[in-house]
Amino acid sequence: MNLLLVDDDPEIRLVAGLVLRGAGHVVAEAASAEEAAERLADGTFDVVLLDVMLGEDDGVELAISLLSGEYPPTLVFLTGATRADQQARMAAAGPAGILHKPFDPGALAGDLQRILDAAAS
Amino acid sequence: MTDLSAIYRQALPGRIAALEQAAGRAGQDAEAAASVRRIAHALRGSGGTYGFPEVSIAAAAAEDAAEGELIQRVDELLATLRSIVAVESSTHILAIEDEPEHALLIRTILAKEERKVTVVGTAAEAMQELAAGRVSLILLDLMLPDMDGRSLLLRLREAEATAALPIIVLSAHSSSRAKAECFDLGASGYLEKPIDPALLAAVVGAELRTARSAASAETGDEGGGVDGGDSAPAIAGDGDTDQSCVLVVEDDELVASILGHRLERDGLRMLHCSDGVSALEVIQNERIALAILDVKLPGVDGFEVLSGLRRYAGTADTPVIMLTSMGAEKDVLRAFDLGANDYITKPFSPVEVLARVKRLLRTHGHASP
Repeated sequence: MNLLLVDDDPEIRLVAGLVLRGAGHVVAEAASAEEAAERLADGTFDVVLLDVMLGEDDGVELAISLLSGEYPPTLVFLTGATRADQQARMAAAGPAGILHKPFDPGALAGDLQRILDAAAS
Repeated sequence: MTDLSAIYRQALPGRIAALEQAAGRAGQDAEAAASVRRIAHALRGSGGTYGFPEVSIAAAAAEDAAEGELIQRVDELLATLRSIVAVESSTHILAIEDEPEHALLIRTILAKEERKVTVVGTAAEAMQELAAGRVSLILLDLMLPDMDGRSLLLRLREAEATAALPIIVLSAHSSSRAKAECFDLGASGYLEKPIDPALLAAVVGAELRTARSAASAETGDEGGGVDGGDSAPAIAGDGDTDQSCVLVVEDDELVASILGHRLERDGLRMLHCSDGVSALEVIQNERIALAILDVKLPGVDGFEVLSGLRRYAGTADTPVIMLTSMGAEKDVLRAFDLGANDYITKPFSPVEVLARVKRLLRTHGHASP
């Protein structure tokens, strides 16, 4: 699967990229909303894995704009945001699922697959 | 296997510098305060992922701190980060092993840039090495040319400087009795020869993590003072822990009842769950001192319960022993990756279980029952 991993934290991109590539996915990375837009203009992705607090950028706004486009990708939030209002905003954007940080590197690929399987059925 | 914690440690000095810089202005400058919270948010997300749940807990407290408490929480977060850098950069492993093949194997597996590994072949050389400098962990072969390894173990436990040091015994004996004897003498871990390289790395990593969290808990105690704030991270709330309560998650009623009898005989209380779902509920409501988790459970398995324990602030630092099947090394490695402190292979001797429970309760600052 072609994945776009959008997170401003290099350590998260490193470990998530490592395990998702290890699980057989092709992973492109972006560190900001701007970089994500560039990657999305360059190619198509099956899944976008998106951080919510993207430095100065708002991941939820980016998600809404991606999902309202002509060819919306499957979108999964990868977030450390735990407050109820943040969770509600994320859910309202209509993602396929939400993965929480900190995550277990050994379980990330499986957890993502479960979300994608559930979204596909 | 990639050592994620080593990668994370290398990035920590940069994170500390950025946090210090923003924190210096956070009192007067709202933008700097927002920047501090952003850095804390990132650390909250990455710490636990890389095997440092204490970073996620301290970072969450800083990110969610009320305005008046921000500086204090950031100071605590900085102290947590600095303690990881300081402990890890001065890690020195002493291996007492006279067989050259094993000595080479140990050196090859464990030596890393931030870690010094010294291998000596006799008890006398080991005592010299210990007198000369600080050692973080000892690997001890039981068959030494100048002394029985068990006698040396006892001597090390009686000496003040090495009384609390992690000591992992290496032995060709696989009987429960031999293991229980070493645990009685104060061993922290026990590895059978031939040494499985991945298992050695995982056990050493887990012992160093346990020692580090015990050290940081001690530093926290020295900080003293009563903090009645609701926003204090749950890791500091050891006072709320029922020090005698051991959670046992095991679907085999017979195994659970054997464990229960043994624990109760030694003044501990068993809280038994026979499936993972009820265990995940229990940890939200009960203050447990330690958890024993069977790997194979119906539905939610032991690994998922372990992940849940590590994710939940109240149990992020609770010692966990995994019960694994004979020959399932992969399960052991996965358990350590997820933050387990120890493992026991089934079938097990109740005496060995109790020795390991007591050791972990001791190193985590609980009074021995």
